[in-house]
Amino acid sequence: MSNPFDDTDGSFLVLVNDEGQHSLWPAFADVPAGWHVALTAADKQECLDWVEAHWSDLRPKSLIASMA
Amino acid sequence: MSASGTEPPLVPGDRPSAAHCHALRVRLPAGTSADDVAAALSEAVRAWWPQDAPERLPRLWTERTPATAGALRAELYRPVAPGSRLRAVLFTGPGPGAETELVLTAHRADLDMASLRLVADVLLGRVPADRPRPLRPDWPGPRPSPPSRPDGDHAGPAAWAEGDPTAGTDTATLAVPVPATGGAGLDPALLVVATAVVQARYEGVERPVIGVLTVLPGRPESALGPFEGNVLVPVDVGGGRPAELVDRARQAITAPQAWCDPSTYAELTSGGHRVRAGVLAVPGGAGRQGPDGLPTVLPCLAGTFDLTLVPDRGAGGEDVLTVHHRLAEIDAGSAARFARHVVTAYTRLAAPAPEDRPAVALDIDLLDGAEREQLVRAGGPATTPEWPPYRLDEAFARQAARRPDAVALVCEGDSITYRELDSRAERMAVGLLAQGVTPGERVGLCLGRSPDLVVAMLAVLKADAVYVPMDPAHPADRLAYTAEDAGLRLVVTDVDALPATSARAVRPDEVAAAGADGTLAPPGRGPGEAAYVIYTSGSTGRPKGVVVPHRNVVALIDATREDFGLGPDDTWTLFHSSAFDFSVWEIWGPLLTGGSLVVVPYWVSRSPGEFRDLLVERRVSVLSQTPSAFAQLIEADRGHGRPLSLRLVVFGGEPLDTRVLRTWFDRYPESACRLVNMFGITETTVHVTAQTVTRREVLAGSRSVGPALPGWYLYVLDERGRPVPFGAPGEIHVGGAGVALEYLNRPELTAERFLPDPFRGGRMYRSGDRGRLWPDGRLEHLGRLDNQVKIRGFRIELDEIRNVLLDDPAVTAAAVLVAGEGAQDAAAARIDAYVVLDGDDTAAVRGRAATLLPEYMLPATVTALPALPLTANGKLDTRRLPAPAAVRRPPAPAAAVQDPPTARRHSRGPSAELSAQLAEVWEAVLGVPVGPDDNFFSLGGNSLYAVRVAAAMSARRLPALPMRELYLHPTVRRLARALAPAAEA
Repeated sequence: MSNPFDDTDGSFLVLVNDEGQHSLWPAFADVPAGWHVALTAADKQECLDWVEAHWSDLRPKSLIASMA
Repeated sequence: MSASGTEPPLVPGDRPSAAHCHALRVRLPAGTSADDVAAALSEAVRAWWPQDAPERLPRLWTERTPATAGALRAELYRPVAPGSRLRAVLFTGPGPGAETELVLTAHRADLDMASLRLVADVLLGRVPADRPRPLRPDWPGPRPSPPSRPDGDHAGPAAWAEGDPTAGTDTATLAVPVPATGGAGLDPALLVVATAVVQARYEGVERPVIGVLTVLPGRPESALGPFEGNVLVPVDVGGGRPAELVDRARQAITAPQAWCDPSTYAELTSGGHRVRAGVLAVPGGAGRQGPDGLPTVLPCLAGTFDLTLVPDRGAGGEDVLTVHHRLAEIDAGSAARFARHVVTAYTRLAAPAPEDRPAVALDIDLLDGAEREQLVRAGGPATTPEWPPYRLDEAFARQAARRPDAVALVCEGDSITYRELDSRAERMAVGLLAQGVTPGERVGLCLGRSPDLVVAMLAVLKADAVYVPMDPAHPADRLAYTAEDAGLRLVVTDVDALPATSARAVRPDEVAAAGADGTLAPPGRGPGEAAYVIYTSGSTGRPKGVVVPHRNVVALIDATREDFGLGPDDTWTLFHSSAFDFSVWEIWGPLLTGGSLVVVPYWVSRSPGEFRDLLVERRVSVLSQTPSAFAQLIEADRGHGRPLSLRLVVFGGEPLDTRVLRTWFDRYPESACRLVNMFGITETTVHVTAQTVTRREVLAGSRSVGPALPGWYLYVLDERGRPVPFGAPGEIHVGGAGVALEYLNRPELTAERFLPDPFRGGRMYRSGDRGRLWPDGRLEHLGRLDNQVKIRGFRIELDEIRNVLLDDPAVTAAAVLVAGEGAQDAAAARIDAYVVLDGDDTAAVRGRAATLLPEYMLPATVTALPALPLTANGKLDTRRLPAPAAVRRPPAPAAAVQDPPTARRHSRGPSAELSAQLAEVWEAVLGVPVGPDDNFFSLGGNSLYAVRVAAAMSARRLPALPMRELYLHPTVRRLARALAPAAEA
C-alpha cells in the first residue's frame, strides 16, 4: 500500500485553515470544509518549500492573538 | 476424449465431497407417475453405463410425502455417496394430482451440471434416452514443467474476518441482490474482477488470484460426464484498466489455458497460502429460485474456497449473488460485508455509461454514505466529551487545594505533600523568572528521575514557559542538538558536565534560591498553548520536537480517570525517562487525580528484583510498563511470598505479546489487578486507545489495542484517504483531543503529517502505522508502513541511524536493519549496521555513532562490506547481506582471546577465577566469544540480557550482580574485580 503523501511524483495542494495552520493535501481529494487552497496543484517539493517560506509562526492564530 | 478420460481439475482437492457436489431440482407435471419415472431412469442408466454392476446403477428413490421446504432442503444439500454416479429422488405427495419434485445430485468429478440437465430431460421425456452419451474428457496434461504459476498474491488466513475454529468444514450461505443488472444475469468475468477488487482492498494486495470454475471448451452437447474444472485467474487490480481486466478474465473463463488440478494447487499455495475466493462461472449454472425460496440449481452444496461466489437468480427473476463462506475462516457479518462490496464494485464496473465506469480499478469506492458514516463513528465514541480546558499547573493546583497534606511525591525515604510540592515549584518558578525566563520560552530540564525533576516541570509551567525534557543518559552531542534545536537559553540540570551550547546550565537549587522571595503572577497563556516539547526519532537523521499543549494532557487524564478509577488512593511510579512520553502519563496521572508518585531511581529501574521490592514496599497500585520490562518483572516476582499491591497495569510503548501474561494471571486474577494495553503516539499525546487484557484475550491471542479513548478519534484510511471497510488494513490516522500542535520549527514536516480531519473538522495526525478497525470500534495494530521500529519500547527511525552513519567521513554507504524482531525473545532484537568504509575500523564508526545516538539506537554490530548488495530495482537486497560481524574492540591480547574456558579457569586469584566464570556466563547468554576486556554492550548486551546474566550468575551461586555494577564495569575483567571482594567475604 503506497500513501499519496509519500508519492514524490504526486500533485499536491497547500491548504490553510482559519488558525493559519498549513497542510499538504493530495490534489485528487476534495478540499475539506474549513480549509482553503493557498497553493494550487504543485509537486511535493514545491509545496514543502512554499510551506517553509510562508508558515513562519506555527502557533494557531487564536493563540497568537491572545498573546498580543 | 474417451470413455475413461482423466480426473477433472477440481480444487481445492482436500474439501469434503459436498464442496464438489451439485444438485438440480425439477418440478414434474402434476400427476406424473413415480413408477414411470423410475422405469425411465432404470432403462436409461442401463444403456449409459452397461459395464456397471446392476446394484451400483442409480435408481429412483421415491418419497411419498409432500415436498415440504424442510425435506427438499435436506435432500438438496446432501452429497452423494462415494462411488455413486447419481442420486435421483422424487418427492410425490399422497393422492392423485399432488405436486411432484425431482432432485438430481452428483459429484462434479462424475457428471457436470449440463449432464444433470440432460438426465432430467430424459426422465421428463423431452430427450430420447439413447441420445446422451457417457464421455470422459482427457483433461490437458501432464502439467507444463515448471507449472505455470499464476503470478499474483496468494492470501493467508482471512485477517479481516473472524473465523470459528470449532466450525470444521461447515459452510454457511447468504445472498445479496444485484439490482444493477436489471435481471439480465450476472457476467462471470465482471464478477471475477469485482471480487478481486474487493479482495485487494480487504487484504492490501495488488494482484489477487481468484479461483474460477468453468467448462471445458468444445463440450459436446449430448455428453454425460465431468466437463467442469478450475482455473486460477490473477487479476492485476493495481495496474490494469478495468475494461482490460474484464477482457482478460473473460478470456480465462471461456478459453482457459492452464487448468489447476489438486497437486498444482497444493504446489502454488504451499506455505500456508490459499486462494481466498472462487467464482462459479459455469454457463447455465445459475438457476432461478423456486417460489419456496429454495434453489432450482445448486452449483455447490458447500463452499469450495473460503468464499465461493455464485451468480444466481431470485424467485422473481432478479439477479442475486449467493456466497458460501467457510465458517472456520469467515463469519457471517464479514462475509455479508464482502458480498455487499462485491456487488458495489460490480455495479460500478457495469455502469451503463462508459464515463461512469472507473478508470482505475482500485479507485472504486466500495462504501456508500451510510457505511462511511458508520466507519467514522466506530473510530470514536458516540459522544464527544467536553473537558474543561485547564492548564496543567491549574489542574494540579485544584488537587493541591483539595488535599494539601496528601503525599504527592515519594523518593528513597523522602515524601513531599501536595502543599510542599506546590510551594517548591512556585519558588522555583519565581527563580526561573528571575533568570529571565519569558512566557512561552522553552526551558531544558536535564534531570535524572528525582523529585527535582517533577518540581522543575511544574515550575516551568507555573512560570508560563514550556519544558523540554533531556535525558542525562543521552550522549553529549545529542543533548547539544536538542538545546540548539529547541533554542534553549536555560537548562536546569544536576549534570556537572553539560555539553557546551549557547544555553546556560543552572542547578535546581540555584534556581530555587533565586526565587526565595517573590510572588508569581497568574500565567497569561491559555490551556491551548504549549506545555512541553518531547523529541522523537526523525528519519532525516535528526530528532524532531513534538509540541504538546496543556489541554491535551488534561484531556488524556480526564479521558481515563473514570474508566480506570484513578483517584487519591492510588500510588503510581515514575519509571521512565522524562524524554520518553510514557513519563508524561506517569507523572501527570497521579498529580491530576490526587494520587502519589513514587520516583524510581535509575538503578532500581534497571534491576527488576529491586524494582519489585520497591513496588511491594511502597504499595504501588498503578504501574505503567513496556511489555518487555513487565516480562522481567513477572520473572522477578515469581516465587516471592509477598504479592504486589497493583490494581492497574498500563502497557505502552510497544506491541504487547500477551503470551508473557499467562503466568501473571495465575498469581494476580483479573478481579484483583486490571491489565490495560494502550496504543499511543507522541504526536497524539501518549495514548490513543485502551484495551483491557483479560485471560480470555490472552488465550485467544488477541491483537486488539482497543477502542479510541473518549475524545480521541481513529480513522483507518486507504491510500486515497478513504475509510477502508471494517477489518481491512489501512493507515491509522488520529484526530481529536490528543493531536499535538506541531513539530517545533518544522513547518514542512508539520504540514505533511498533521492533515485536515475531513470527517470531524480540526486536524488529524497521519501515523505511518498500519491497522484495522472492527465494527465495535476496536483497533488492531499491524505494524509500521515505513522504517520506524520499536525496540524494547523505544521508537527508532532506522533512517536516523543510517544518516548518522553516513555523516561519518569514512562511511560511503550504509544500511541499517533490525534482527530478531518479532522473535519471542525481546532481548534478541538487535540493530545491525552494514557500511561501505574507507579502511576497516568498524569500531571507530560505532564509536563515533555512540557520541550521537542513545544506547538503545546504537547498532549492536557494524559490518564492513565492499559494496551493499542491491536488487534488480536498485533497492537494498537484505537477503544477500552476510551474517553480521561481532563488533570487537581493537584486538584483545591474543593469549586472552585464545584461552579456552578450561584454561582460563587455571589463572590465579579469586578475581581471575570469577572473571573466567563470568566470561562463560556472558558467552552462554550472548552467544558470542567474550574476551576479558570486551564491553558487554558492544557485544550486543542490553538491559534484558543484563537481567539474564544476573539470573545465570545467581544459578551458579556466583556473587549477586546489582545492575549498577554491570553498567559501571561493563567488561568481564573489571566486573570480576568489582565483585570479587564480595565473593571472598
